[in-house]
Amino acid sequence: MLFADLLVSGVLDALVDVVPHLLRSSGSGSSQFLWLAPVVTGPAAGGGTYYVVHNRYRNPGETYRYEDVSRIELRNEQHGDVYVRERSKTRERHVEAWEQSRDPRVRVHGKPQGLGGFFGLFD
Amino acid sequence: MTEHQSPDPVPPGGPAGPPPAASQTPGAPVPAPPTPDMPSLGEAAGAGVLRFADTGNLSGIVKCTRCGSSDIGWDIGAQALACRSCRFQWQGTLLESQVDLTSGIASLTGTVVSERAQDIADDASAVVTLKCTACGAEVVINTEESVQARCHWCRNTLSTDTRIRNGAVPDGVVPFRVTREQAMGLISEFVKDRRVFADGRFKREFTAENVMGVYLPYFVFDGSFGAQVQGEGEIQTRTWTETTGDDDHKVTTRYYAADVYEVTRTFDATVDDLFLESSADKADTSDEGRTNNILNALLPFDVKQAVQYSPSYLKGMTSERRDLNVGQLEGAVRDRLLTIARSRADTMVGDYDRGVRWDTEAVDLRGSRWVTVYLPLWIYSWYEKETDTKHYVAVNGQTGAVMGSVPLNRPLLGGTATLVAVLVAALTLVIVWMMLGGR
Repeated sequence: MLFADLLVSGVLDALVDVVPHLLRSSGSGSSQFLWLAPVVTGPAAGGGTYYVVHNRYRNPGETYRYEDVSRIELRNEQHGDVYVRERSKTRERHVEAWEQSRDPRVRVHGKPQGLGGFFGLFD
Repeated sequence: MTEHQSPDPVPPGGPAGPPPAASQTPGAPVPAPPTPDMPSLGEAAGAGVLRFADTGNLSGIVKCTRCGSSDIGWDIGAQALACRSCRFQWQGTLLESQVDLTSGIASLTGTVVSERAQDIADDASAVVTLKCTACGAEVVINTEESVQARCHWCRNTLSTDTRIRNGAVPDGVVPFRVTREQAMGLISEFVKDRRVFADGRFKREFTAENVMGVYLPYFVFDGSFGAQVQGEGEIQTRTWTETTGDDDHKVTTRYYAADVYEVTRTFDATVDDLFLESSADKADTSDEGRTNNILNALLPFDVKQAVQYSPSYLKGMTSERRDLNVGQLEGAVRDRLLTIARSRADTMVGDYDRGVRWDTEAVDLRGSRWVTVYLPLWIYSWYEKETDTKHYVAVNGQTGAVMGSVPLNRPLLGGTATLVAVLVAALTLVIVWMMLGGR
């Protein structure tokens, strides 16, 4: 699992780095980077094959999805939305460090903002 | 430089309106904020004890009401307890009919545990002595191996009663619905679909006949808690592109502008029937050497169908003893409640099209209720010596859901992956060569 993950993440990182160069160079008529494409696609396909088969046979990510299947009822919802500032120019498509909050199974990574003792209850 | 501006999105609260302030549903009661002095589950355990009525199955000898035989078992086909002497069949007592385990969760305070979910006595031994009420003989059993017992002299089936404080007896049992033959078929099919890259020795040794019916011990948790998550969210106000460089090396970059908000979501919640492993051996789902995640993935079960415990349900099956107390699951409960809190908070921030990053979180468990149950699983297990891994292929004995870990033939998979890599690289090389006109 670890090997497969490292392999795939390495290949994806390489793709992210190399593909824009390839596209740019091909758009301008330069072919020097295009010859590197097999170096990217080959390992990506091999790593992907290993990852898919490993997951299908070993099911390492399968667990009880209690947050989805349990009977959960919510009451007394309160929403606080306080305007803080304008972000006038950024290349990021999402709020900074948004990916840290994408999986509800993963603990929050943000820094406590003045309420560390209060909210850091379970640290 | 060129600039393309997209139409401004509408922020929550209306277009070009003032930024939304902290809002609250008018008239809604204000939930108490999470407090750091949450009582420890271990300390609170025993604060309230649920007691189930003794329906006659709990102690002494379990007998057929028609012929008096103690040779009773669970007939999966008939979904009934059956006397193996006179064929008389009857239904067990539903756990829910004894104590309401569904309603009243929101008003729970402190920790309420069933009599059999109480802490395992420190001096409890796995070896217990039962006195046969029919002939008076004393029968010694090791509850590590079995919680069923038969009098060696008069052959009556004895019940391990409520006084055994070593975790061997649960409150309820979810009886098997899936037959052994059905489970064998499901496991065979699961393995058959994964034969190509399966370990060679596993393929040779696999026989579905080795599947075992196992009752594993779990806590069923109902709880009421308050939750608060806080973070930063953004709403896009515009987007545009800027192009730099000369004609040969143009670089186009997309930029965004956004309003930033401090986002807080506070709510109360109840959770009904959350399962927690109560056997330490099965509770660790992170150890890849044990593939416990496979058994964990077969949860949940419908515990509304659980019946009051009787050793008759265990006949012909194996079972495992509970060895964890409620207090030892404090961390696991908090992890699960925090996950539920994050998961629900994510459904409350749909207006933030650039997402919300949660920075702080808290839950306050106000009340909980715990019962212990045996849950039915059909398990095929296989030990992979080379990697010191115990693989399970298992079937949920109530629903028929299947999950498994099939050991891999790593050299074959590695070789195949390498071959795919080489072929794809070669194919890409040909395509590039053709694209460049064969230069």
